[in-house]
Formats: sequence, structure tokens, C-alpha cells
Amino acid sequence: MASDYRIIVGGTTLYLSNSTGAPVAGGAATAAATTPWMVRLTDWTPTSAPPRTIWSGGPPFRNGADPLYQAYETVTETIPLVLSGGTHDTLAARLQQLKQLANVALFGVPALLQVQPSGATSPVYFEIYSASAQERNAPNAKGVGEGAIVINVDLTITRSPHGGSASLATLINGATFTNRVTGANPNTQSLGALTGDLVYEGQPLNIQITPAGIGTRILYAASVASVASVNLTAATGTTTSTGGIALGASAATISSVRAARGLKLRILVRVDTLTNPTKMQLRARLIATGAGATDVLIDLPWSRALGSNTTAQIVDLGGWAPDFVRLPIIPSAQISVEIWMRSIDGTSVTATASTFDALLYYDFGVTSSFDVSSAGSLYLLGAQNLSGAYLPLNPPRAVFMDATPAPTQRVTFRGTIPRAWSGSSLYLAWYVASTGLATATDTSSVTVTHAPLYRSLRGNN
Amino acid sequence: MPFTIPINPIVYAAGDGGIPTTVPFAELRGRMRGYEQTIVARGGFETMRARLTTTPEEALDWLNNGLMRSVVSYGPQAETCWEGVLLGVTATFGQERRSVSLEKMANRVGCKYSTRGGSPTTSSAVSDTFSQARYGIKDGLISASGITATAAANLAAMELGRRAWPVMTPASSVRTGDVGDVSVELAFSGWYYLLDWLLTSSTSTTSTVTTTQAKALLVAYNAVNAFYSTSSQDVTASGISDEEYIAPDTSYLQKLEALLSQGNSSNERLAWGIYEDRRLVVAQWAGATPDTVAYRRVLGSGQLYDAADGPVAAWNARPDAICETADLLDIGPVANQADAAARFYVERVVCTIDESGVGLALEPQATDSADAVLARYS
Repeated sequence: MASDYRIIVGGTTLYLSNSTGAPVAGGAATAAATTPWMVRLTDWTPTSAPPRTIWSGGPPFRNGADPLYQAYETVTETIPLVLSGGTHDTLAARLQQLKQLANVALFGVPALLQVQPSGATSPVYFEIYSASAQERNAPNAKGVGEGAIVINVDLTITRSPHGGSASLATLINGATFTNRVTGANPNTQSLGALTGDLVYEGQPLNIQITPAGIGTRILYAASVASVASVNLTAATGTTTSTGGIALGASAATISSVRAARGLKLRILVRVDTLTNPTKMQLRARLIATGAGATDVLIDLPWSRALGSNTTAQIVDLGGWAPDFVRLPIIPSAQISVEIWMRSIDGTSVTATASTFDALLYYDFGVTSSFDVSSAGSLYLLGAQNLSGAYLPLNPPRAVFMDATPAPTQRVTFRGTIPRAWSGSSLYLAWYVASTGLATATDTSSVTVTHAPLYRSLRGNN
Repeated sequence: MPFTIPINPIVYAAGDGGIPTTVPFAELRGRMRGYEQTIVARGGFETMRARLTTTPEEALDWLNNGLMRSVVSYGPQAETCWEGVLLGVTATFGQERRSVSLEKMANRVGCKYSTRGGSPTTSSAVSDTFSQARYGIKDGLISASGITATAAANLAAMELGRRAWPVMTPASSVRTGDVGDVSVELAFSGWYYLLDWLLTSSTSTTSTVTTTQAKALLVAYNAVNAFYSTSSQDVTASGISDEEYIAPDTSYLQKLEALLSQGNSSNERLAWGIYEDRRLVVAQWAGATPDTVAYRRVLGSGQLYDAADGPVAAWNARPDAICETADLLDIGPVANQADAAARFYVERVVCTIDESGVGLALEPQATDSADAVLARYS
């Protein structure tokens, strides 16, 4: 099989490589066997996007520096081509066709560059944002200015840093998520094995969530390394104190963070049997573990006042980066989480904190309120295929769509829409927006698809 | 594409009377070329600027319709980093520049005047109700002496005509070379500073706890411009009282600062501001307990850490905190000494993010002369 390089715009494909191995003089560029184009492959291979790393620290105070953030530049590269025109007028027409199709990004959708070397099972697609083509004299041929019929062309493109695939990989298909960590069909399910070059940097997901029931919802979504449902014992309390009382504490194992720098801890507490919840705030206090340990590491901020429901609520108490456990001598890292409650104005408040979800997460966020009364689904979208291949949607978006699907409600997402990480799972939790009610037996049907990204070559991965 | 600014400012549509809504208008994530936010220990969220490259049509929309849109900036962990309202827009169209701002706007104007040989008084305020319906009410006051009441009323009306709507400030230059692109800089203000929009007065001489008065000021302000939450869950009582008297034509901001600048019953300063959900927060300043360190720096690292060595993202740093540099060994500062060689009280934080990276400046407390301090009390 010959190498296959193309420029694709909507329904038009321009073949840059002839499947017979040699360009056809003056042939139609829209078919592989007749195209007059050929890539001078000994002179070119797709460029890997260089990372742009932001570093932290360095000399003269220490040796070296730590990577803090990293993203990728667009790639500008020159593809060397040969064009065999048959006649000079045909040559000029084929050249014009290339220049037109490569520059549609500004007022249309970007053209795609398809890259599939000989022997590669699957192609990679890059979006082309801008392009220019410069004709040059071919060796041992008439000069361009003298009416050449065979020329070299330098096609310089600025394209997306990563390539995508023509289809999404389905990771979770119509699975039932129940609004609790434990039991059958839990709210945390593995994304499974991933493909792509950026599995350790995060790759886009499209998540479709169809909650059962009616009414408004607010949804927490996270990509997690692990989740623990931790029971709190003797966790009932009443207070009129604006200083607050401790409801109870339990230890959460956070050993994953010792090796994984980017993981953070998040606490979502589940409370029930509440009185005057709209006058109540909750907070997590993190305490070092170890025999007799009482050292308070940090108090996370007080939550907003709770919703009005008195049966059961789930409350996000915030996140923290537990760097202090990244020490070489600790065999298993634990942290004690103590849940505190206070009254905002002296009104007596009561709650039982039954469990808390301890997430070790990569990405976390929360939606604005959306109404599930009409048929439809909430979509958390990290990938788009406007040009025909699946590439990152920038920025990622949340939207509620009906069964068509067509957008019906605008939804904002605070935080980072979950991405796919090697070994990660998807965590979802939700509650009724108007009252805060979080029913542990509520279910949602969830489908997750994934857009693997590639730096240059793909093969069959 | 260079370093991606990880903040997502969500801009919400302005409601009638400038009242903030929850209707999202635009998300700026992934579009900004630069972002800067400042937060102060006495005021809360102070300023935020976002720069973005846009189309001419979008730049025009910001100029024409953008003022009083509210914003909440969220970090990548869904945390609120900053919250405020758009008071100024600068749009650059190549070599043309347009700026519009609410800084000088006033749509309810009175004239403080005295007649020949008479006592000072203030004319009845005149209003532009269309401007008020668009932006909320913002008071303006002009002064004149030796004029009649009729003349004072005329002056107020004339001033209203001049200031009822934001003024566009153009700048046009013609030069050779690169014409440039189309960009917008959005200048947001913390809600705290809109307390300066309305004037008030009170003849009451009742002595009331200063923080109670502060809460009452917010309730009274909200009766005119419903900008704020009246929740007092984050207001720690000062324990000291003062007269409720407010001199005529004093702004709510002036009175609030006069009250809270007095400190508390422990003779300690207070820190206060309008923070998340537009709530007033008042607490004893962190400098009262300088051994309680909130932030730590290590010279070899470009990061800020919390007291438990958790890294603190630059956009999450807050003022009213003690910051200590671990490598700088103090001999042993006095227990109530807020600032020492290795530690200082953070009065203001400035977070700057652009294509080259992230920067955070922690500014110390201002050096106040006794006169300056006393001037705020009067």
C-alpha cells in the first residue's frame, strides 16, 4: 500500500500522493490513482508539536526546576510536493485548487491533512489553520517562469498541534450510574484502556448523561484515579454556634498521590436528617494521621449555606493538593478528614454526616442548574468534528440537548470538564438544584466517548 | 498556541438597573491574551483585567452593551477566584482606539449650594431614569455658592445632561507600518467600590456596634441598588460602638470605611471586603496573630504553599494573611510583630497571567501616617 496523504474539505478530497507510486501528468487531483501530486517523502515527516512548559524555581536557589504547566504550540511545517501538470495551464489550475482548499479555516471549517504512511493501518488527521504554497523549479526541468509543466511546490501549513481520529472510541456505553460510590452500578466507573499519545496528559471526552426523573439538577463530574466512600461514625451534631462543631472524622487513604504529582484530594460529604439546612454551613478539616496525631493540616473553606431539603444532601467541601505526603518514608499515606458544621446566624442546626466521598482526581467541575423534565441529555463536550475528524473542542462546553440532539438549554461548567487519563475513572454525583436533595438510589444512563490524540505517527494505535 | 490561561471568567448579562443576573453571556476561557486580578485586605475583590483578540463586531458589542455585565472568574478546580462588574472597556481597531467607562457617569445629580448670605443646602436631585434603568443609580454632586435655588436646580440639570451616560473616549492615529489587530481590554471592578455610587445621611445619634451599622448600610443601599447579598454569615462583630450619625452627602463607602477602620474591642485592625456571592466579610486582621502563617515561600521554588505545604495556585491567593519565607531565618520576632525579616502581612495580592506564564505579587501593608489614619475616621 502506498503512502496516503490528502487534504480534505467537506466533500472535497485533494490527494497529495498517487496510489500507483507516481503522479499522473495533468490528472484529476480528486482521485488517488489520477492525482498529479506527489509528496517528496524522503524530505519530510510530520513534525511533533513542541511542548511549551512553564517551569517553577531554579538557580541560584536550587538545581534544576519543576514543570508546572505544559501546553502545545501550533505547528508550522513545509510539505515538499511535486506537481506534474501535463500542460502549464493545467498545472496552474491544480496549484490554485490546492491554495484555495488549504485556506478555508477563516470563514469555514478548517481543512484536514490526512497522514497515513505506507503500512500504517489507520490515518491521523490534523486541522489546517492557514497555508501558503510556493512553486519552485524542479531539477532537470524547465523553469517555472518559463512555463514549466513539472514543478516542486513548498506547501507551508500551520496546523493543530495534535492529530485526531475519524471516529470516537466508546469507553462507556449506556451504563447505569447510581448516585453513590458503593453498591451495584456505582457512580464511579473505569474508562478502561485508552489509545493515543496524550494518555498521561489528558485527552478529550464527550460525556452524555441522561438522569432519570424530572426537575432540575446540578452535577459534579470528575476524572479520578480513585474514590473512597468513607464512613463517619457518631457523626450527628446540633449547634447554634457560629464557631461550629465537629461532627466526626475518619481516615481516607491517599497513597496514590505519593507518585502522581497532578492528583488532588476532593471531599464531598453526604449529610442526612437535617434541620434548618439553609442556616447551615459545612467544612472539612484535614488532620495528619499517625499515633496521637492532632496536627491540623488545613481547614478547607466553609461551604455555601445548604439547600432546603432535610432528607439528604451532598455538599462539595473543596479540594487540596496533599503534597506533604510525597515523602519517601511513608509506606501508605492517610489523612484524617473531620467534618465541621456551623450555624450562620445562631439558628439551631442539626445534621448527620453519614459518609464522605474522598476523590483523588485529575479534573473536577460542576454544572449550573439544568432541567431534565423534558426528554434529553446533558452533554459535557471535550471533542468536536466540525472538519470531519475528532479534535479538541476549545474551550470545552456543557449543553443540554433533546433527543434529536438539538441544544435546548445552555449550561455553564465551572472547573475542568473531565478528560481521559490512563487508569482513570469517571465520577458523577448530582442533586436537585432547587432543594439540594441528593438521593443515593437515583440513576443516570451514561455514555462516554473518547478522542485519542496523536503527535505524528499512529500506526494501528 | 503558547501557555493557555487556565482561568475561566464567565460574564453574565446585566439585568435592569444594573442588577447582576445568572444568565451567562460569554465565557472567556481559551480566548484571553492576558489576565490580571487584584484583591485587597480592605475591600475584597479590587480589579480584574482581561485582554482578548476579537472580531470588530464583538469589540463593538462590548463597547455598546458591555458595561455593568457581571463576571465570576473560576479556576480549573471550580473555585471562585474573583467576582465583580464591568465598568470600563477599551477596544483597539488597528490604529483606532475607543474607551468607554462608568467612572465619570452620574445619573442622579444634586447641587450643594448656598445663597448669598444663606446656609449650605442641597437641591433636590434630578434623575435620568433611562440611564438608571440601564446601570442602576449613581449619585453625582456639584457645588456652587452665592446662587439661588433655581440656579442650583439648573446647574444640577445641566450636569445631569452632561454625565447621565458614559462618555466614549476616542484615540485615533495614522502611521505607516503594521496596522495592528482588533482587541478588547475589559476592566472590571470589585462590587465593593460601587458602594461609592450612592450618597446617604443620618441624624441619628444612637450608639450602635460598628459592624451592625455596616450590615445596615448594605441593607439600605440594596433598597436603591440591589447589588449585594445581605447575608451576614461572614461578619464577625467588632464589639465596639459608634454614633449612627452620617454627615450629609457622605457615600456609603465612606461611612462603611469610617466604621470598620476603627478596629475591634481587642484594639486590633479589621480586614473586610465584598467577596464571593457579593457578601460582606469582616474579620480581625491576620496580623493580630502573626505566628499563624497562611502562606509559605521557598526561595528555590516559584510556588506559593499553604501552611500544610500544599501548593497554592496564584489565582487562589488571598490577602489578609501572613506569608513566611522558609529560607530566611528570623532571630525571633516579637509575638505581635506582624512584619519581620522572614514574614509579612499580605495586604494585597496581584495575580498576572499572560502568554509567558503566571506571576503573583504579595504586597505588604501600606505605611500609614497617623494623620492619614485619623483622616479616615472623620
